[in-house]
Amino acid sequence: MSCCDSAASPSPLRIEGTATVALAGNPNVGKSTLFNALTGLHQHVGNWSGKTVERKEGTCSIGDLTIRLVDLPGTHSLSALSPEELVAREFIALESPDVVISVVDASNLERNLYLTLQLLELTDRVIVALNMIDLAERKGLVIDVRELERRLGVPVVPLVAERRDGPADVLAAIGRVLQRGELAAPPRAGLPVAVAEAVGRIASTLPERPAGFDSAWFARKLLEGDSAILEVAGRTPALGAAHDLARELRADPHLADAEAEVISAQYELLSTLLDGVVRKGTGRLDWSDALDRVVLHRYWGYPILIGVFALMFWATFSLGAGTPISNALTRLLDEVGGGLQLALVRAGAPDLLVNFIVAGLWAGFETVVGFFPLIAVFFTAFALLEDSGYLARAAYLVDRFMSAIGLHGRSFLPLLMGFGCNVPAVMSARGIDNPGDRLLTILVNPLMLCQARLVVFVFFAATFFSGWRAAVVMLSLYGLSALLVVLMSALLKRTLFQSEPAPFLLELPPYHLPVWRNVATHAWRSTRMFIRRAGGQITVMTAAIWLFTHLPLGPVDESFAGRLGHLLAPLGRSMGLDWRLLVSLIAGFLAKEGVLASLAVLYGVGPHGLAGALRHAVSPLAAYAFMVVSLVYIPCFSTLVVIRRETLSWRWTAFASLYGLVLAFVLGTGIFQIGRLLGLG
Amino acid sequence: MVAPLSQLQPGQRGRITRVGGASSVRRRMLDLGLVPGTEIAAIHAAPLRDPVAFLIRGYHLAMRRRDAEAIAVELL
Repeated sequence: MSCCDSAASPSPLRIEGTATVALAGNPNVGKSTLFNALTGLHQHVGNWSGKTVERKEGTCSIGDLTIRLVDLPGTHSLSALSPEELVAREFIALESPDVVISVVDASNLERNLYLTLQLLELTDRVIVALNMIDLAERKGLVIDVRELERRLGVPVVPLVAERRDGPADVLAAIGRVLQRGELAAPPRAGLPVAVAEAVGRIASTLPERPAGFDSAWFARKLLEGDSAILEVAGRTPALGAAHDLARELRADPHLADAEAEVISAQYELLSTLLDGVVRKGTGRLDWSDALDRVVLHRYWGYPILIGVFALMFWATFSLGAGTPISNALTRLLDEVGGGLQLALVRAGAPDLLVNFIVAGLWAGFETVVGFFPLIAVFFTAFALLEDSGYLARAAYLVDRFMSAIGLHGRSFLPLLMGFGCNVPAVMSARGIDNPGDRLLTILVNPLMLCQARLVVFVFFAATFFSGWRAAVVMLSLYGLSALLVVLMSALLKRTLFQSEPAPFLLELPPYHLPVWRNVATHAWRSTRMFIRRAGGQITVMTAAIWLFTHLPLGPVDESFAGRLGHLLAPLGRSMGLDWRLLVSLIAGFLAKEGVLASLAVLYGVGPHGLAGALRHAVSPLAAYAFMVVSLVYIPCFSTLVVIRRETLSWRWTAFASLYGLVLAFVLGTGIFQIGRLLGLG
Repeated sequence: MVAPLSQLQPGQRGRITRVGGASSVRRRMLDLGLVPGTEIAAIHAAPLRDPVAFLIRGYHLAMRRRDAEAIAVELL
């Protein structure tokens, strides 16, 4: 929607130019929905400089005024506990946006307004957008909006999901705040006398706007022992005196708990502010609690969990792949590819060019399109689970297992999804709010045996092992995959991720019927992001690998890939792999199921002759080593692209591909050599 | 009687008297409203006893027993 025609401000705005407006709020309070409604298609996604936090910006306008809208990351507070909180805090304190919109969950007002109070400490140009009023009403809460507005001294705008005029009301409120002359003093928490005195003493040693911050706020953060502010004060000579004084004061037993006292004072203020504003009406949210009694039941909890996830995977892989729709899509693409080939040949294009365009570029494009239905279905299901409140319950149920390997309950779904496809699995790790756990979940994800590798393993198991042995081989690979995830997370947790302990604090929101529009937007955004940002790279890379395996012209073993295969042959020998198997792994980097097609080319046989050719050339032991190597050696290219997108770091992307190579070499060599010693080769 | 929050049985209520623990963990808990003086009720334990869901300030918050140990409550 366009903001211009929906902005029905009662008094026409007399301001021109550009205003910066920031959106702040807890995670999952509908901040993104409001952002999308306000900016429509005028948005830009990047990341905060030097931080792995997504930065979303958009524009809209009221009259002649252009608004630059910045969507801050969702946070519970403005402490310095995560990069998200630091980003939000520094933007508001240092870049002084003209207006800050504080999006709050009306059904959980007290804890949400805690963040609003923290915003009000930094700026008085705040608008409170009251979201999820319908949920509050169903919880039996009646909110006196006018009274809340009077007490907070800032505009409070109710947003109702079914009504679409909420965004227009928010724009009108932005106009009011910008035009307002005299500002009402925002409510301030009364600090205990000793704390207030100490803050005053520290502030008196500070220059005006220390490091760009408000001096009273800066002084209080020093007293609280805020790590980021201590760091700033510690390295700025002009703030050294305040830094030392604060350290001295923190050692005073009367002030040792200043932090808790300040936060208590803020929550006390909130209780006073909300007293009489929020009234408990009739009709409590009994059904949500009743549902929890079943869903979290000692005996039914896990069967329901397994059922829900089984349904989700069934939907993803049966609706997303191998259905009439996706088959028709594949057929259509194949036919277009065939038509393209024919047209090129007719036009007299050289064979090499025709092959490059059809088997390289077009095939790459097909890979991307092939992911489309799968990702769309998966993220629709994911958004349904998230929006309904079940995903939080699932995390709650499985946390006991995840904590055993040093992870959070929220990591469960992304890992489980890895058994299907690592691409959406890595993308779904976005829901984990602890940055270390999120990164860890992403990095170990490629070790999960995905469907594409399953295709290769089933073929190999059937070719080299008969009857029950094939089943044992398959089970051992699944077991190894899970075991490696456990070992690798434990190892990373003890080495690279030795951060401060992160508590498991998970909110269990009341269940609610998902709003179909939100689910669709969610799914569409994830899918579009994959196509737009990963699509191009995957297509280009597929074409590049095609060139690598086909140039220079001539037999395959003289191509660049073939030569590399020969070059790596000594490494391969220790794992029992010949150069053809090595080259097929290079092709498998593109898409793991591509290993089989490239082996057929490399052994110079058709798809039906491959089993025989392999049995002739490779021993069962080497075949098993090959399966283990192809399980771990590298994430497929599409997965690497999304790892880069999600971590915003080349370093971690390189790490994800390198540790796999090392691990694959160690495991492959170990299995082949030990197997030979045992006389299995 | 004062006890760690982790010992609150589903159905029992308490009032928070003290919040301890490592500084970042503690700050996070305080930010979420687990401040001294607040009333808290245990409502449910996960099937394998851990984590535990609590009712605080009108919302449900799940916590591991290990984290809840750092919070002292006066049983009500």
